Formats: sequence, C-alpha cells, structure tokens
Amino acid sequence: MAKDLHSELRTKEAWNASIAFSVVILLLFAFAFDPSSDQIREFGSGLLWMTYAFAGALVLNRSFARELQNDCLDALIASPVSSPALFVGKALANFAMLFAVELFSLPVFGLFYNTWPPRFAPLFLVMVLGTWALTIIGTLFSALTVNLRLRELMLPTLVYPMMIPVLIAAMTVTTNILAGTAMGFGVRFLVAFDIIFTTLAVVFVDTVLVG
Amino acid sequence: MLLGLGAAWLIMFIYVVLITLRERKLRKELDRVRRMVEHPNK
Amino acid sequence: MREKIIIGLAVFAGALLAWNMNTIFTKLPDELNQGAIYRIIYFHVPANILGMSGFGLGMLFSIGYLVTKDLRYDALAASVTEVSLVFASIGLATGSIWARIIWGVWWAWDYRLTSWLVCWLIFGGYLMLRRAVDEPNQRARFAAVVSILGSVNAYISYKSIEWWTTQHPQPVLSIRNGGGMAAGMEAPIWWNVLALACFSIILVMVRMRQESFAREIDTLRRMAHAQ
Repeated sequence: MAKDLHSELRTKEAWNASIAFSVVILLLFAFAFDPSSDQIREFGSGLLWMTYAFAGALVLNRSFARELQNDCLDALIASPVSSPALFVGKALANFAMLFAVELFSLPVFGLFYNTWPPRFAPLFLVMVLGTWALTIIGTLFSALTVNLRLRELMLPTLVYPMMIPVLIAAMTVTTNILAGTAMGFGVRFLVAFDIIFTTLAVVFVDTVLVG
Repeated sequence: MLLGLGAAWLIMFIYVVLITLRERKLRKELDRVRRMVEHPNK
Repeated sequence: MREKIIIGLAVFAGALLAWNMNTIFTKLPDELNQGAIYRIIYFHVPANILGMSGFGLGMLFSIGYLVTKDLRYDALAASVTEVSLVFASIGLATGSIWARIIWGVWWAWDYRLTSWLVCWLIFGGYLMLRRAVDEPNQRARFAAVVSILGSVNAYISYKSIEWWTTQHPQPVLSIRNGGGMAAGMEAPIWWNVLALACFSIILVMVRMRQESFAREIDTLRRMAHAQ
C-alpha cells in the first residue's frame, strides 16, 4: 500500500486528472440543472455521488493496469506477499486517493451550488462508508479485467451496475443530511454492504489473480 | 393484457430463435474443425 | 436419450400450460380492483421466480466450479444464468405492461424495480464477460466471481419488497408473509411455475449441449494447431 501511495504521490498524474475531472463534471452538472433553485438540496447529493463514482472509476481503472508495464503484476503475484494482502493494500491506497479527491471536490460543490451541510461528522461517515464500498468493488473488478482484451469496455459495464445499490444508499443518506433530517436506513445498508463485499473480495481475490 | 402475454412469448420466441441460430453455427463450426483435424493438409 | 427427455418435457409443459391458460382465462373471475389485467401476474411472477432462483442456482454452480475446477459446472452455471436472464427479461417486460395500466407509467424507480434491473444488468455483464475471455479456465473463474457477487444483489432484490415499501406490491404468495391471494387464484401461479420450469430445463439442456460443442471445437482446434 505504501508503495502504491508513494508512486502515486510521486507522479501525481491520476491524482491531478481525477481532481480536474471531478471539477469539470460538477461544472457540467451546473449547466444541466439550474443550480440556483431550491431543488438543489434534493438532487445535489445525487450530483455529488455521481461525481465521486466517475472520479473513482478514473482512479480505479489504472490501479492494476499500471502494473502491466514491465510485468510488475506478475512479479507482485509471484512475490511472497499473499494476494489478499496485496489486494487490501491496493484497496487502501485507492481509498485514500479517492477520498482525497472527494475532500477536494466537496468545497467546490458547496461553492458552485450554494449548499453547505449543517453537520460534517455524519457526512464524513457516509463518505467513508460509501467510498470504501466503491473502492472495494472497483479494485476487485479492476483486478478481474486487467488482462482482458476489452478492458476499457468491460470494467464500466461490470462495475457501474454493482455500484448502483451503494450509490442509491449513499445518495439518500446524503440528501437527508443536507436537509438536516435523520440519516435513515441507508447507513445500515452501507455498513452491511461494506462488510459483505469486503469479505467476498478478500475470499475471491486469489481466484481472480492467481487461479 | 394480451400485450403482456404477447411480450412474454415474443421474448421467449426470440431467445429460442437465437439459440437455434447458435446451435446451427456451432454444428457448422464443429464440422469444419473436425474436417480440418482429419485432413490437415486441405 | 437427451432428445427423448426434451420432447417428453416439452409435451408435458405444453399440456400443463394449455390447461393453466384454460383455468386462467375461462375459470377465474376478474380481480376486484384491477379487472382483467391482473392475469399478467400468472406470467410475471413465475418468470421472476424462475429468473431469481436461476441466478441463485447459477451462483451455486459457480461455487461448485470454484471448488471442483470441473468445467461442466461452469457450463451449467452459464446455461442457467443465460436462461434466467431471459426469464428476468420476461418479468421486466410483463411488469412494465402491467404498470402502464395500473400505475399509469411504464416504469417507476421503485426499489424492487431498480434492484431487479440492476440484477439484469449485472448478469447481462456476466454474459458479456464470458465472451470477452478466451481461455476457458480463466473465463470460468472470472464468471464465477461475478455470478457470486451478482447474486448478493439478487438477494437484495428478493428482500426489497419487504425492506422498503414503495410502489411495487407487497408479497402476495402464501410462502411469504402468509400471502393475500385467494387459494383458487394462487394455485395457477404455481402450476405455471412448474410449466415454465420445464421449459427452462429444456433450454438449459440445449445450452449445455452447445457448451459441450464449444468445448469440443476448442479441443479440436488445439489439436489442429499442435499438428
């Protein structure tokens, strides 16, 4: 994990790209909807999570593909590090990256759309839970599709449907937070989803990477 | 209601047609490959 | 032998279906609130039952493959999932037509509908993934993982009408929550489940034979290349 973070911080390429990308998307949504209306409180969280999902796909797309150069992936698999450990390391690095992008685009969102959450602690809780779910799904499928002919095509077709339940839950909770009401059922759903998919991913990563 | 039943059977019918087409294609391919193995120089 | 089983099942399913249609259209009265359109339930519910349990069955066969590494389990999982996707499509289409009449819209973003559509997309992706991988063992491994992850969503969809009560009707069958249908009205649903299950067994058998053709082609090709 340290290695991943390190190499990413050094090159900064994915980091810069996804931050720029998320700002551009937030800008585009502002043209698609009227950002001054009161309704922004209702669909603002949707825009926010869409941005996170797309930025996440950008980060995750490269997480295993980066290792293809110079056969690093084969070397990593052959190394004494077990594949679950390798996977969790990757996932943590991706999580840190994506979360940083989110932290950056959150004030941009608040600025563009004149929305500011009344409380930050619950928002961070949802962001952590939701982002971890997105990361774990994205990282697993990134590992799965890394050697495919149609990688760029297969990853989104598999990943986005899997992410929809997470996004729905995260969006409803975020809407409730922005409206200042109780968070609701979504938090429990996110926790359950995180636990189930992390377990499944750790169990199956060996099958995916080594076989 | 008839539309509903029609749609259900239409989807079923389309799938049966697709599966039959694939069956024909696979048989043809199998024949071709078999011949290729039996007479490799042809 | 296989041919005989297929023909026997087809005759049985066809006869059962004809008898069911007779019961549904001539014996049963219209439903009090919905009128004649409610009869769609006799196809909507069985198709979705088969679709959902088929995805679950596909997951079991996928686990079977991962445990045994026997490609026949993979072929079984692929066949079952593909046929289930057809039934899920029928379920979505009939549901949409029913919704047009009863709700006045073709589609509502209700939790049941959404989660089921998500399942449909995931297992559609499963079939696309199978086409994208050439090496049989790798294909089987990847597909098995997707099938197992996808069936979590199938379970969410199964439970969604109990967890969130939005547009979609609550469970009406007697196996869940005691049910709300009159016994005479519910029975044809189960007979149709049986009839459609026979059809799906036929389709799965045909698909299995195709998978074995594909494996044979694959081995022959290898032999041809080795020569």
